[in-house]
Amino acid sequence: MTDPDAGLVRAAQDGDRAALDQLLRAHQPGVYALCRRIVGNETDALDATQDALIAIVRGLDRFDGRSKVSTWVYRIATNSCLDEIRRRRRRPTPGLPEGDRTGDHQVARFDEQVAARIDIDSALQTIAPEFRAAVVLRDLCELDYAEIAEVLAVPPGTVRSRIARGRSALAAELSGNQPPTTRRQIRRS
Amino acid sequence: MTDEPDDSIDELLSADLDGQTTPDEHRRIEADPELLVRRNGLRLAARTVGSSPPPLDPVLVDSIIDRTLARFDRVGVDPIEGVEAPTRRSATPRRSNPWLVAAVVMLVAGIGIGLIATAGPSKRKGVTATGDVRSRPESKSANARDAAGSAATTTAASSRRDSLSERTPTVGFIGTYASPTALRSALRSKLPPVRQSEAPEVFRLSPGQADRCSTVLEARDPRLRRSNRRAAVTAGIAGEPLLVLEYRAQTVGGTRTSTRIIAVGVAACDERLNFER
Repeated sequence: MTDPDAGLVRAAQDGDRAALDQLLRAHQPGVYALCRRIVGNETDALDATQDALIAIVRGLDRFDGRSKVSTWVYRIATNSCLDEIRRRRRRPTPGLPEGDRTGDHQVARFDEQVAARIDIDSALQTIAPEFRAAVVLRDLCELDYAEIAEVLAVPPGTVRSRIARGRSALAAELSGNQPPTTRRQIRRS
Repeated sequence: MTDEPDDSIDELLSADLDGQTTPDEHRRIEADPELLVRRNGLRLAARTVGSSPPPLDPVLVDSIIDRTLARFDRVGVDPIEGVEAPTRRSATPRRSNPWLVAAVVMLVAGIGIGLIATAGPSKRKGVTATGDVRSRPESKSANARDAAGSAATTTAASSRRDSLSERTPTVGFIGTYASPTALRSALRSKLPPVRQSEAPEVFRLSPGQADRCSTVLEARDPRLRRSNRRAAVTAGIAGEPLLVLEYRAQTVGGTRTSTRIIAVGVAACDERLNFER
């Protein structure tokens, strides 16, 4: 099957700025959604998205078309998100976590959708980033196991295992159950 | 339900959700009510993750794309920016020309010797002047410093990937205040002096982060134009970072100019202070 973005990439590689603009705009929503779910808050997701788009531009000349453009983009974005998480670990946390920052000025804007989103984010944050990335790439980005293996640079068997264990920990978290001892190792320390 | 460990059962059920099981495995799952319940739990988790977060404000999208393209347009793009894009190794590795390698090695060695010769007298001053064995610890510490320098060089590549706030100049910091009232009072007459060196890590915003909130504010109020922005600094209230923006404004009727001060939370760009002086 022909990659729908291949033409845009070729044009952008030839210096067509409009094609590059179109390519970035086409992939920005997917990159942001991936980052939002992996890093867990809007501010860091925006930073990771910006980093990822810059890396896409910088790496464009080296893209050789052997993988789908979307897979390549997700690989860059995932690396960007995991880097952002590593940077965040080195930074002091400003006050309360974002989900708890519900001052008077914000309470009025809270609705069920926001609350549900925070539940998803906080549940996702309880599992280790590499498991989180695998689950998000499968369930949000709808990549198949082979593509996720390419994105994460791990064997497909590892992908299958990470997705299963990530979903399992998430199911336990969302249902309010304590995860079994065997699953604790995949949770964040 | 089987006696298999939880992890292997979940792996089977999760794979079944993705259509990755054999017909036999699938039939076995469908025939076991406990496995079906468990698979439903995993399906719920998968659907929860699969719900897309709300899309970004188009103004923010434009801002992100514009900043990205601006770097593309810039001549001699900063080589340390951003996350490296993955590349594939060539199937046929390039062979280096041995003569070229030798020439480069000799050139580097020559430069190194030249540098040592140039720096030698000052570095060895303690030894030559005193001829004292006390110079040895100095020498050791110098070696340690050299090693540290070398380590710093080798870790430079990884530190390049540090946050935007570490990579780029940060927005000025004017201090922390006990309450919004205290900050407002401090901003009442003029912008307090910037104390960059005192800024804790959490208050070190990159210009890009500041621009993001600035863009949101300017989209909400067309009277706030980038060309009228005089200053952007960070301040803190009870440990929370705020972005303080100062705009040149005109009074109603345009008879005289004034200054509008707006402070917003960094995370959501929500207003905390907005007054004119």
